[in-house]
Amino acid sequence: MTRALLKWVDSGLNRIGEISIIRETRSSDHAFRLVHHLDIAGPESTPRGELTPYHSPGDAREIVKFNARGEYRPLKTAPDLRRGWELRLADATALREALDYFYPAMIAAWFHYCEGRVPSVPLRETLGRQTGMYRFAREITDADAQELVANHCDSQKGCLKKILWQLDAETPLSGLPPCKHDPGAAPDGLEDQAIPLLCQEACNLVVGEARRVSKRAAEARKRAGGKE
Amino acid sequence: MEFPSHAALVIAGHGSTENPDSSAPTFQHADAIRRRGLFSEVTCAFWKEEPSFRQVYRMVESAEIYVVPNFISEGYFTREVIPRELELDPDSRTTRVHGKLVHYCDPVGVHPTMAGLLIKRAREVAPGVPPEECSLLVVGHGTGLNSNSRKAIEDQVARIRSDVDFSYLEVLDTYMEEDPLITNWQEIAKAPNVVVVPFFVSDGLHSYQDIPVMLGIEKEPTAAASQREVFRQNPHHLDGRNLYYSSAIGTEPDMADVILDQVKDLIAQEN
Repeated sequence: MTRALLKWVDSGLNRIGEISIIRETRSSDHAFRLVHHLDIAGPESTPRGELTPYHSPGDAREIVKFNARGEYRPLKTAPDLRRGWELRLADATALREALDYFYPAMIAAWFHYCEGRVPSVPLRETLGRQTGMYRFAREITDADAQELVANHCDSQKGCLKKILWQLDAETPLSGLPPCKHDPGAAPDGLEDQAIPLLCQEACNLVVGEARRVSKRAAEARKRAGGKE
Repeated sequence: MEFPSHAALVIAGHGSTENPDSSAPTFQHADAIRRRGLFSEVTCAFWKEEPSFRQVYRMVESAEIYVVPNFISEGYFTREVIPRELELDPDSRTTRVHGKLVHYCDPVGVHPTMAGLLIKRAREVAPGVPPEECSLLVVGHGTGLNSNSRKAIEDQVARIRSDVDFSYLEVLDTYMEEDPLITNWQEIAKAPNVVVVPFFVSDGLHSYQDIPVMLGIEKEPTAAASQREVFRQNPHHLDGRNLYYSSAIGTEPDMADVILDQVKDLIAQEN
């Protein structure tokens, strides 16, 4: 997978999520540099001397932990990666490790997608296998599930991933624009330059939210029943 | 003993959608093991963070995988959630899944070497305090829903008690939600010095935010450890006694060796 990543970068795929991947010149002491894409180009870019330098793949874990408001980021593909840093990486192995911290499992997902091996799991299947406190998530109605996904997975405020799964085997998701389900439709028209972030199965945050919504609906039904 | 250098190690943790410090020790132990070059790959996977358990098979390229749960006891997560999410055979230590041979080890918290780590941590947190004037309280979660949560701690405390070199006045197991409750530490512990070591895998919600309130160190839960400028200073003078509160046992760097010990034990069992 590291070899494939190197090939992608050398072929011009130099963007993943909110990160720009820069291949350094041979005279540099490091092979790659990662920066927030807004820090490197455009009207709001940051002079390189003002970026805080980091040198180890593990430093990525600190960069991704909090957003600019200091809030914890449990979802690493949320569109609020903070700015103001650059991560210098010695080689392709370090690049792969760092990207696995920035966007966990996303290099692997794209690798398997390119090989034609990316099974997706319908939301109903994910919810159906939950137990313990999450078993209530199974009870969510189709309408509530569609609304939940439309709100929580929205690329502008929720998650940058492209959703490959459906509600169930027959029912597609209905609340998000078609580009949200198209790995070939990159942000900012960067189809030729970006490694897509692919969602093969709803994450724990969606499952947790489904639990909250279905519990709330059950309580509302109970209250309504009590009044009758 | 040789480790299977062709195989991958996956450390399975809980993670958190609320606490930024929950997964940090799991990553640090993975870093430490990776530096030793014992496995072809070392990766973490989590229940509530990414990469998720479901994603990890796609990340790992090796055909053989050892999975060690970075959990404190046998229970719901180690017996139900992780096997289900990793599609493991519940009746076998080894499962062939998605073309990979997966070996499922015991969780770190039940390994006998944890007792030595607890003693080491107690000595570090209260240096220079005469052991015979000191009570050691190991505090766990405890839950009426699962007796294994308590058993893991009782077993470690029994090991410490039977250690001939252990010279503390007493060592006791205590809990957040079961008797003996850590809230009652002043009645439970007899010595003028009291060392409390949380039996948790990270300084997350319970060990960093909840238990300090139960001990009386804090009036209300503080921000997470990584979001505070000053880490707590020992000892705390309460009720005329010196209270030493340690960070969670799971943050101990030697936990990386416990993870490796669980792999070694499974290999020994299989041979």
